[in-house]
Amino acid sequence: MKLSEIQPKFKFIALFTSIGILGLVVILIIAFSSFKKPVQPQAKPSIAPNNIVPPTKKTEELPKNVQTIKQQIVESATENKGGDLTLQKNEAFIIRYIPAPNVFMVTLLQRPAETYKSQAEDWFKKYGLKQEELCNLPVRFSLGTNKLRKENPNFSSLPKDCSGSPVLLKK
Amino acid sequence: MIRIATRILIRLLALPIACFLILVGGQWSVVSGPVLAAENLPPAPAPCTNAKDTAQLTDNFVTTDEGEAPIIIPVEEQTGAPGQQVTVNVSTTFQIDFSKLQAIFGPQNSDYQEGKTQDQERQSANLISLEDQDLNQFNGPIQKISPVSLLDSQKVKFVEYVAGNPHLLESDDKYTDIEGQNPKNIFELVTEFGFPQPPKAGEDKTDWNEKWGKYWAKIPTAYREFYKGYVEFWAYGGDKTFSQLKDGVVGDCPTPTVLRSVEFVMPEFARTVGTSDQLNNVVVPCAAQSYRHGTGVNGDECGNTPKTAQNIKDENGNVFSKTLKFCKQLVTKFPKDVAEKFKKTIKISFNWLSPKSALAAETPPTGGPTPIPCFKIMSEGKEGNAPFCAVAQNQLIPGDVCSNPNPQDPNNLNKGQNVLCTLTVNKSVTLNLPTDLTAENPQWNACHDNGNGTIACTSTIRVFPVIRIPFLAEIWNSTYYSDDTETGIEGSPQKTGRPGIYTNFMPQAVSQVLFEGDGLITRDRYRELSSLCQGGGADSGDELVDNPACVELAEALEALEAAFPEITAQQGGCDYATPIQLKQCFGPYWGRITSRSLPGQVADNVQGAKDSKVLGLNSTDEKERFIGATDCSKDFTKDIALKPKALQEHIGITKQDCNMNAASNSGGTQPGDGGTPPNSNDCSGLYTLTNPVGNFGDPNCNYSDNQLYIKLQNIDPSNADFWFFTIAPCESLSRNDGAMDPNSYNPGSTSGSAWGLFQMGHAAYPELGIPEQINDISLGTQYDRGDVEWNLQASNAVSHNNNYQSPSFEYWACAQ
Repeated sequence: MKLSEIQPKFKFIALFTSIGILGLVVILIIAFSSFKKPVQPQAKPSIAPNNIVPPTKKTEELPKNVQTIKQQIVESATENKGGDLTLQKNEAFIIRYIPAPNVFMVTLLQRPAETYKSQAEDWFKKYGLKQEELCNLPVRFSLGTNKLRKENPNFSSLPKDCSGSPVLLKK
Repeated sequence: MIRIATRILIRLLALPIACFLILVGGQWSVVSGPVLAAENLPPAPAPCTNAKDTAQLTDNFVTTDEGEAPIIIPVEEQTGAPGQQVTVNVSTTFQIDFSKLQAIFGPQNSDYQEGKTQDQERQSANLISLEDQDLNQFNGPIQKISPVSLLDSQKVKFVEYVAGNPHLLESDDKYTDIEGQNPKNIFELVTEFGFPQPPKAGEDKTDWNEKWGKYWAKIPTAYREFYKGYVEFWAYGGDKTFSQLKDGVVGDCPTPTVLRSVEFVMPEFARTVGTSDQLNNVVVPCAAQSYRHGTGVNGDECGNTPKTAQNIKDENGNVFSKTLKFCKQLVTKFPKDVAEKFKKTIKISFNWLSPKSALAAETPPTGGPTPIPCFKIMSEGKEGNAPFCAVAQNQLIPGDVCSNPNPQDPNNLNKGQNVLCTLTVNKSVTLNLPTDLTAENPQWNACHDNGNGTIACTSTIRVFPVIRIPFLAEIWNSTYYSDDTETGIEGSPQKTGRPGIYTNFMPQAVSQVLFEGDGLITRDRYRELSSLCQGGGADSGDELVDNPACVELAEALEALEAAFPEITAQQGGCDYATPIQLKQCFGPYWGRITSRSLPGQVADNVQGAKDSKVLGLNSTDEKERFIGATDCSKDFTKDIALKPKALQEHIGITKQDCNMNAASNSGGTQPGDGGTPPNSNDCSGLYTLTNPVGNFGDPNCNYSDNQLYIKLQNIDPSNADFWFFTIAPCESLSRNDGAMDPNSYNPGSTSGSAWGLFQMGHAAYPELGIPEQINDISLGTQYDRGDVEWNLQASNAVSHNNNYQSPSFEYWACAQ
């Protein structure tokens, strides 16, 4: 057989082989990508994400008087549940100190959330803290029920007049 | 006639008894500690001084008929600085007749089941000379209808255990041979003949018949083990605290001040429960155990002990959440008759300094509502008739006075003198004046600010005698069923008043909820309606309205929403337009919907369940009858009667041969693989369990946000903050103490349902009609599972993210 006779056949075979390989790759990509699709429910945009702005300062970086007050507050714990220290508990909110992440967590339970958020802030201020000192104490808020989360979609976990942002994903 | 009846009985019950006994040997070694007794020790019976202690105690409050404390001490206005301590002295005496106290619940019914093997008359009987009728009565149902090989196995274990534990009362029991001659105790029998090795079928029996064989018919199948109980005096401050005790409280029960604790021994509660510790741990939910009260010798171990890992996973979470309430409501709902019996044993002197204390002795108003008993009362007249141990000398303190009014009492096992005791209570209760008058201060009734830096408060101290006994004592005193007038089992020599199946200790309120639906839909009705509704072809809102079954379902849903507002509030309501959506709306309430497949009954998928011939028996009554008496049957109780269908199905019930007729694992991944299986424990009210399987996320009650953070730091330190501060609080709900809820459950996920702190997939729950939802299962892993213990939820989430998510965290909408 002459080469001139083989070439067209070879081209034909090569073409079909290429298409086959390409098709296989496409199928694999589709299959692979479809597996990775998340199947979990998407968070509705109308609900507060409830994410918490993490603390940025360590206790030893706080002013001495704040450190003292912080210690005093922690020692006032009425209950220790696996390390979670309950500091104040009423029908409207629960204040806890979580030692490992070093954060005072206030879980709001009743509406209006902002009112009780303010009351919880006052609880800390009774110890002699100033409003701005709550930011780095740090005090953080979360909404304890779905109902509250739906009612307060823009709720911030930070105390009043504090700034910060939730933990960002490390890309 | 008797023979015919006996034969019928044997035919009816041969299979279940055989089933009960199959694992007796194996079970005994598990439940009673090591029984491979190489030792053969001479008898030294001292059961009273070798009583076992168990952490699982049940608190039985002694109250007035109205549920009030027998001792009430008004605390008049106390003035002081906020936080200042105030002490109130409580001083009184109380009298206890220990001979009666220990007999309140009556002797165990094991005599009925295995014949009176512990009775001296039986031990010394001449079997050769017995008439047919007497011979018939010599053995109980167990010996009559059990295959010899199984019975032998149980007796061998008895000999081994008694030989190795000479403190047992049985160690010095003398058994004669079948002719009533040559009495020997276990030690002597073993010394002379060695440990028994009954010949198998076809083997030469000559040697056996010359030795152990002569005594073998006399050997019992169960031994007695004594357990400790406690009489304590608990003080609580404040009317609000008292209300919390009566009505229940979210979170932990109020903590009492323990004024006095006296240990006593309960001889008759454990013969049939040689496995009590094991069974306690498995059967008794944390919620029903006394240390939920958080004080006393047990502390608050519930959340820490791995034993609770075996607690029941209960599809009917309401059973034990109600039991928790029951626990707390003992103050007011303790059965009157039993309370009366307690009161007969404890005479309190009301010699208070405060003149107002006379209020405590006021005559109860007549004509009021009759208190609803929490459990049925066993027959009367047993107090004083049971063996007892006089209280140990080391339990007494200066000022106590004891006597022994009946020195010849044969029931006085240790022949002690401390039988009728007048004991003293003299201790202070400390209250702290509140630091914040705006906060809840349940220890105080009323407070006001004097304006000069001081505050003034009033309170009331209530003191309850509390009888703390092993929970099993209550269970097993109520676990048998017997009624002279009952029909259904021919030839059963019953006696009315024997305790009944364990529903007898179930609070009536719970029984109503469980079996009568308490006005709400039951699971049976739900299944019926949902089938009719979906089968009606309705697929739109209009058609739903036209379908009566759908309408009834919808009404039932509304009733559930109204009955369980805490769930409704958490879920935020549920919309539906199709039968499937309507059915899905029941998901959060599933655990609260009653089912008849509970005590004494079996899972639908257990072989024979549908034709009511489980274990060869023909009626529920008969099935219930043979729960108890042998170790194996306890496991039967544990698995079939007490465990929910879903758990039975998932664990396959293969470990207990008693359950050989039960369904095998029907597929799907077992919940809690690598972790603790779900149970019904709501951890002192921390969780509102709205999912179908119970407490899957924190079955050991040891979750805390702090621990979660530590766990995340360990397994994914670079993203720990992201998991903890961003993903988990967004994906999960909050539990009652403000912490994140590892039992978070969303039935309305677009992919089915989402579980746990990170709202992930789940195993299959076929009985509940829930298919598997694990998106990485095809790759041989199952990280996409949130229906597991919280620490596994964390590691699953991290593993799933590390292995299969690209870009990272794409799985979680809250990460976007």
